[in-house]
Amino acid sequence: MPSVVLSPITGSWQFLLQALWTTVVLSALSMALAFAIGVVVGALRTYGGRLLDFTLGFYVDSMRAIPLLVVLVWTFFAFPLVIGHSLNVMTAGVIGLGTHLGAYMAETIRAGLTSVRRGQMWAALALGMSRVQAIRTIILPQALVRMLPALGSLFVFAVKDSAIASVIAVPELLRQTQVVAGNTFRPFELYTAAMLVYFLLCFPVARGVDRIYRRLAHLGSS
Amino acid sequence: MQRRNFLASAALSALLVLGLMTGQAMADSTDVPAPGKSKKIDAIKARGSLKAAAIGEFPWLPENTSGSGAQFSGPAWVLANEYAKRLGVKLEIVPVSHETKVPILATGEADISIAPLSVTPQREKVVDFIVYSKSSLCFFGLADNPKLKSVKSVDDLNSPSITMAYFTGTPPETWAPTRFPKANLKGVAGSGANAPVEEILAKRADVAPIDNVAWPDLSKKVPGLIVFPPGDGCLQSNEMATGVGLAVDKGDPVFRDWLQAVYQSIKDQVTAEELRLLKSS
Repeated sequence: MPSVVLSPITGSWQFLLQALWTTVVLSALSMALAFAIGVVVGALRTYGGRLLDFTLGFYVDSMRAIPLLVVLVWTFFAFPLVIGHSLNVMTAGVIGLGTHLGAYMAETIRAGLTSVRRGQMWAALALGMSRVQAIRTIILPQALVRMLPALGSLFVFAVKDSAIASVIAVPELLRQTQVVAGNTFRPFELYTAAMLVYFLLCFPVARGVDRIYRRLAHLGSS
Repeated sequence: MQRRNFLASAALSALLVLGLMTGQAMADSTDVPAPGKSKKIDAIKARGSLKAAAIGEFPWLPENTSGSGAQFSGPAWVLANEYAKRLGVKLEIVPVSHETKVPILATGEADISIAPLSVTPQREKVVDFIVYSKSSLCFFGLADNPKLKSVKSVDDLNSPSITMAYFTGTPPETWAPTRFPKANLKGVAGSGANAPVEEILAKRADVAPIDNVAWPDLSKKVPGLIVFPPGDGCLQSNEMATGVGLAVDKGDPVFRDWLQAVYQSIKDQVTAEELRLLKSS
């Protein structure tokens, strides 16, 4: 067991706090993008017909087949050449993480939507609602409650995966911890602290979502 | 007499004119090139910011991790700020890793890479350098490592029993296989440090290269290490001796020449900043 010196952490707490904030922002933005992608792709795969299901299924399968690290590196280096516009590391990080997580989100949402009995959709249509109205007001509210545990897990994944963005130098928690560890040559204290911070960030999210689900579970039953 | 006076005045005038012309030429080279001369400079001015790729490295660009004050210090930082000031734009830092500090120039996401870069033939094929310092390598390991007990010189490290770790994307990656063909070489991901200290402390590698100027700082902060060449020999090492500089993408010689001219005009200031950091470490 190496001797523990806390001065590298206390002397850089503001720097590391900024990094933690970047991690939170990166996770939240990528989760928001993933949710937007997930709702659209999940709904279109469920209700959009076979062609859309097949086409969007290809996106989902590709994202599940390609490592996140590869997606991030490609987004940062190759994607700007495709669109003819440069991307800063944060934008590339959000796009890479968001599109990767979006595939998993789409499957979660699709599972949630299909878990609501078809009869409810038919009933809504029989009452004169459009498909979009029926999804928005009848199906999605129930499905969202059922999806909560899975969504909680995906949010925890978003926070944990944000650390991979350090490879394209997004100044998030792991990256900046590496910088301080590099300056002070104290990897034990700094990486242990980073591990604790990730745990303190993710554990309450996982527990909190479970607690919310227990309270709301009855709203998802039909 | 009159004729001699005339000749003397003519010579003096010629010298004066020559001096003025030389001075003018020097001033011209550091003046920002006019619009249309350099695409890169025009783009920087239009954008209003000089995008500089950066990753901290002592003593050329150490990162300030206190959370307040300037983000970096060091000679590369002095130069980058001077360039931005003369261009009349703000300096925008683009964080990079060791793996991305050179390729980022090709993507256009950064105008210059102020990440301290050793000049290597491989890199010279893809980027132009503004060299402001020099460096060579030493090799460090744990003093109580039994494999290093018999090592007396750097040549002794070229052995199959020795595992050497270096950061991928750094010059030792291409240099070490030629210098240590018998050693077990291992590239690891960059951690933001000057050298893969973690590999040594975790005993996954026996030795790792480090810039000779960074060794005194490392030896102070991490006790129990040994260096090759031993003792003061490290500071005089000639292993992989190269220039250290900042880089720009090839293809805009006007921009490169202007960067070089500005460096020449503040060379003393740049050198003084490096010495200041070395003395304060």
